[in-house]
Amino acid sequence: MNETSFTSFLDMGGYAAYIWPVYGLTAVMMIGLLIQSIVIWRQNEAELTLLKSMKENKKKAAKSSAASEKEEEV
Amino acid sequence: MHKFANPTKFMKVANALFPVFCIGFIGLLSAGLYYSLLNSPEDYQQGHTVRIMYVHVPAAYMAVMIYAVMASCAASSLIWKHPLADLIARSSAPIGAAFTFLCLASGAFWGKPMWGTWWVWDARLTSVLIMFFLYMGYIALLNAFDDPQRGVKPAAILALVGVVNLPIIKFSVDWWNTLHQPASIIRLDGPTIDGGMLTPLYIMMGAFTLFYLMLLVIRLRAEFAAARIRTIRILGEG
Amino acid sequence: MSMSRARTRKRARMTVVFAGLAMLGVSVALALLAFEDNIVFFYGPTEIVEQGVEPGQNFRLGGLVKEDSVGLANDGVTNLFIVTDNNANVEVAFKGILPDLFREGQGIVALGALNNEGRFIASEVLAKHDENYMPPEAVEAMKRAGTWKHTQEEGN
Repeated sequence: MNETSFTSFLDMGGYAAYIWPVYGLTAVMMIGLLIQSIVIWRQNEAELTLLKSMKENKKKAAKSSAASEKEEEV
Repeated sequence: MHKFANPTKFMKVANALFPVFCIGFIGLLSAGLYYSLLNSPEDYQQGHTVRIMYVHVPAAYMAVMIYAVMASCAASSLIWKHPLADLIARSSAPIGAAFTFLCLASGAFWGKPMWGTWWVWDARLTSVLIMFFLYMGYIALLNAFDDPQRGVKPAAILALVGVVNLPIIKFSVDWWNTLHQPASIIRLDGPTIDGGMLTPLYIMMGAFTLFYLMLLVIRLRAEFAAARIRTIRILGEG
Repeated sequence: MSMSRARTRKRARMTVVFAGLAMLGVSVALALLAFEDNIVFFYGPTEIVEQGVEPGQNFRLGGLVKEDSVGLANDGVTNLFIVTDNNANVEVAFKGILPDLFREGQGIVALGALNNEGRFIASEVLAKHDENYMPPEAVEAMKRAGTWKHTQEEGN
């Protein structure tokens, strides 16, 4: 693409000030929605794994304390 | 457990389709941008501003379609208490609201040079603005309560009430004198848009649809994780 | 809890939802009919001429700019043109910048009021675009083939 055709492409027949903001806004909106959706999903998944591991730890702790009590009895 | 059997199967299918949505979206978006910005003719009246239509019309189409999906899901969550329906409705709302905003904004950027004004209170523009407020009201109601389950019913009722607005949006240009032009695509005698302009328009519509499906899968994953977090919390505290 | 009781409740909820929607639809339709005059964005020249609008009363006038009617007033800044629906005509005067789509044969909507001579003094002129989207070459080809007809919307 040579220089003049590129500048005329950017100029959009004099309507650049109206056309480019529309496409810019579309890009911003799509990227923003995508990032926001991924962030929420990642956060929720991270919280879920944390909660699950806490639950596991509690179970283990309960088991081991029960086991140590048994040992004391012996 | 029985309740979640169906949603799990649903997510399995959705997750399998997810890469198809992503690749399809990227492909259609690149082709759509190429045609709408580089390889489509000027309009004999509007000149290059016709290129705004390739964003405006697909955005309007998505805004209305997503509202229809949201409202039907709201209805089935009200009637059958289906948990999946509620999750689809609440995941769709922000996407629909964003497309409605894009539709209004792109319309304003076309209206200023062509009509001579950013905004008028004619029946088409006003009814679309009302749809934007309905989306916002739905989202606000969902999040209005500390217990997230309490917002489901009032929000679903609002979404359903707003369904009356959909035929008003579509037929406003036929029923009343409006500044907005009449329908160009969905009309009895076929589209009144030149073939060279229909190509980018249809491709962009496809791209936007795939974008919605792609986001819907991600947001549903987030909602399912949130639902499991709530279950663990309730069981843990109880 | 029996299955049938749950089913009856679901059916009852469905009836409520659909009956509610139907009632809402009817009431909204009635309300829209009642307020039709306020929802209509503009009036055509025929309505204005037939109904005899009082001078000084603000309203929106919509129609086509009549061919060969656009000119300038003696002051050199006021645009003069005739708005028509191919049935009645209204003369319009407007001091200001016309939108890009303003041209003869094209639809416009003007805000303003009639003066005592029956001329419409506009404070704002908006161009109306029709539903046709075409490249200029296609229009040229149609003109050459003689199949071109400018879709003049009849202002009702």
